[in-house]
Amino acid sequence: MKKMLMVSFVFLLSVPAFANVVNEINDPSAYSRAMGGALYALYAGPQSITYNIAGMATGKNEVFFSHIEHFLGVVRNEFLSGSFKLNNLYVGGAIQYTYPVDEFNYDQYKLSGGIAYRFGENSFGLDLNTWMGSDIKNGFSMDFGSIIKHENLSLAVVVKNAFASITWASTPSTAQSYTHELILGASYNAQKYILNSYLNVTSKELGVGAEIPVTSFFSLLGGYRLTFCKDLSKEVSTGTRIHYNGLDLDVAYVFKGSLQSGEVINPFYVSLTYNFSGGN
Amino acid sequence: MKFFTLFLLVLCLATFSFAIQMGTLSASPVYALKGDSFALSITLSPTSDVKTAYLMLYNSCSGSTETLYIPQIHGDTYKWYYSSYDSCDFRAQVQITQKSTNATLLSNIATFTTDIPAASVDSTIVYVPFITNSTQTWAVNALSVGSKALTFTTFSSPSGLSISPNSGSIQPGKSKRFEVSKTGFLLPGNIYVLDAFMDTNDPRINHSRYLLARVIMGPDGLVMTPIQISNDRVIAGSDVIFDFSIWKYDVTLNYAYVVWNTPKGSKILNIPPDHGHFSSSMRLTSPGTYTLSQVMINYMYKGLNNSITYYPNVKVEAAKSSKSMKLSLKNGTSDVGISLKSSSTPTVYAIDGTLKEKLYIKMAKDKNTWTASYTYADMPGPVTILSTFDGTDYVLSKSFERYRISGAQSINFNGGWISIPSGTFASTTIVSELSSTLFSNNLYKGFSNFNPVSNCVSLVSKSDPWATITYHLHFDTSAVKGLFDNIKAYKLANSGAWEALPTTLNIGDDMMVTFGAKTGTYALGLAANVDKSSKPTIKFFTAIPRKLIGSGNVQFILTVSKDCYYKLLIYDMRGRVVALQSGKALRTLGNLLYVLNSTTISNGLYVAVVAVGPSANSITETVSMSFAIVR
Repeated sequence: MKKMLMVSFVFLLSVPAFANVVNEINDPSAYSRAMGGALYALYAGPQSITYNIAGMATGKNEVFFSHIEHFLGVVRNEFLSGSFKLNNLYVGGAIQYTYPVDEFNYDQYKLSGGIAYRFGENSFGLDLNTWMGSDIKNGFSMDFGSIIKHENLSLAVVVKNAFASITWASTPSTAQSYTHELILGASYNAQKYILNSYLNVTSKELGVGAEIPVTSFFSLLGGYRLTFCKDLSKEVSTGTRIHYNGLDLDVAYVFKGSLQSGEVINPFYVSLTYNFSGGN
Repeated sequence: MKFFTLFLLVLCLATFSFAIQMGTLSASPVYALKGDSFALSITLSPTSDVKTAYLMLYNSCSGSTETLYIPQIHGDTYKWYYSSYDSCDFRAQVQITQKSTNATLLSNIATFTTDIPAASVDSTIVYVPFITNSTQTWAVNALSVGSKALTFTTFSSPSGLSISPNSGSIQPGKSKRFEVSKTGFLLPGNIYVLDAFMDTNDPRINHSRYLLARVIMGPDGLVMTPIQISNDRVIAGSDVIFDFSIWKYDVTLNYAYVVWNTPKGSKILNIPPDHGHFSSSMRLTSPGTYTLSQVMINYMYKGLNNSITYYPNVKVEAAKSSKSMKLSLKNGTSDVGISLKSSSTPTVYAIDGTLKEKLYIKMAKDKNTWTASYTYADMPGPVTILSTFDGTDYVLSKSFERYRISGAQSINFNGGWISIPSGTFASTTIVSELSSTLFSNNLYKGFSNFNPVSNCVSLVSKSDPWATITYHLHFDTSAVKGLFDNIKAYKLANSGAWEALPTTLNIGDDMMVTFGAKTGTYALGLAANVDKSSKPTIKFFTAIPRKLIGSGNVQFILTVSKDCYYKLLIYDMRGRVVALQSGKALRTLGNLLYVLNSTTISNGLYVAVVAVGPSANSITETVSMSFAIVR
């Protein structure tokens, strides 16, 4: 175990400290945000398209929508996705729209489409992404994901934004390439609670979270997330999940602690998630 | 044919070989006054073939001819000198006898004359401070020294002078009086050079134009005496007194300031004009070299403001030492308390205003503290208490100033000023002012009751004032930390403790607090249990440009309602901090918080979050703003 930890540590150090990853909202789900972003090892339906495409294979046909007020409401993000089951094969698609609301002319679209194949409790999948926007001519990347479940433990390995390149409408147009991201996830379902965690090795993000079902209709969510870059950014999150008649309503509050003040800054994120699934 | 050509060539060569080459005879000068010397010169070569050379002169006045036989020979130049005591025209010709052929050769005829119009002017140069020149006229005489009538015209260059007469003639032997006066209106502050010229028919070289008068008008009606300084080698923490006087006439001195270059940057001191005598002190708080680099004097003349800047370049060296001195003025008396800390025995003197001699002060010792009291004279001017020490040539000095108050007066000092209204005192009285710095190890009791944010100023007099005096004290913005509403004025009570004044303070935009009080010792401070509810607010926050296209920098500009601390965080869309900056923002427009180089981050949308607060870890307002990088 110690050897594994040492290997992991060395691996972390080997990644550039300021990895050039795609600058996108990579955590649009309130369900995920409430649990520190640790959604990678869960079967979460069409919202998984942007986390781990393999998690799309829930056995249902579902539609997902989320709305995020980011950074004190300065930036908004809309996310709409759907997944459809064809025996063991799942086909999904998503559109993400990011835009500022402070009279600043900029927007960014991301279109994703992918497939996942489930065998038993395990699955894997891949999806293709393309970007558009007011300052983006075109962009492309690929994601690969897998979930391996053994009894109550699920493990996930995800490679995101492989072969990523975005051509920006600069003067002249510049194509920027980005580093692919390696993400590891784990989830433990203890029936009374579900523990989740993830580690983005490349961009140095990690989070842990828990879901505690209170009733069959209502769950409490909580999480903690760290991001390392120029400075350590800490987030404490909490939220609820209301499950009723195939509808999952998730609300998450995220308190950013980087400013080291909780009294006036109100560093909260609110996102609203609607999960329309075919069954209960 | 060939033989004939060769014969001619040989003949020509023979001719050139034996003929004397004669240059042109010339006279220098051509025009001169009688009695002046003329030089007549000609070149002859080869000189070996010159047997004799004579100069023949024809005088047109007498009709006679005279011959000058002996020339001065320099190389191949033959020169004859001639002076005439008549005003006549002359003609000259050189006659040469050749050795080889005994032939006689004649030169050209050169002419020169002493029959000319000519002038003699006793030019005058006057230096006129502009403040006194407005009604002056200067007279210049020009004499016609030639034998013909001198005609003239006069003019001013540049215009600005009036010259009378401006044209005419002067008969030989007569003189003419010219009057020169200033007619142009010149702005004070600059130096002007005005010339009065006379153009004449004097034919001599460089004699056609005469300078009648050169009038130099300048601001030197404000003459500053050399700066005197109390000491040029002091211990850091000392005051040095510098003073100078200004000679002035018919101008109003508005204000003056001096610029000291200190080890920690430039420092500007306003100094009070006191009947043309300027005296002020400078506190040398840090070791190093201090240079009094500039003196700028602003004055008014005929409704116009103007300034003069002098560069005296006076240097004072301040040395580091553990020795210190503290003065304390005692209200209602003319006593100043002296407390001096030194491990070596000090020799303490007082230089009391115009009493330039040193007055020895006997000190009492208690361990390393030496104390004494000195009664100063009731006269205006500075008082300097200085101490020398065995083994060093540096002095430690402190000073304070005395003013004779007979009406309204403003007293300037390092860190503010005091406005004394008329009728404050029953009669003319002497007040003394001392400004000092409060340190944590000061001798006052009750210091811990507040944190000082300004200099401490003492204004004392023998008699109590009848009216309230207005104190204006600058405060240290870095010490206030944006808590402007919590600044209080403190008075040193007779008990030795500091007491907060109940009077209302007026906090100005120029980091100055104004309050009314009577004589005593005052300082501004923040209470130890300061209320931190005073919240700075963000008035404006932006990124320039909001969208950076191509490589470059994005600047983040912040305007706040009051001095405060800020923290700037720049997040990418993942919520990662890609840049951060913290520091202090001043209550001015456009604090440049940070410059973000686009090459250090990826393309895309970012959010800058700025938080401000009265202290580094207390945030009272946050504003966020999006911007984009499109490289």
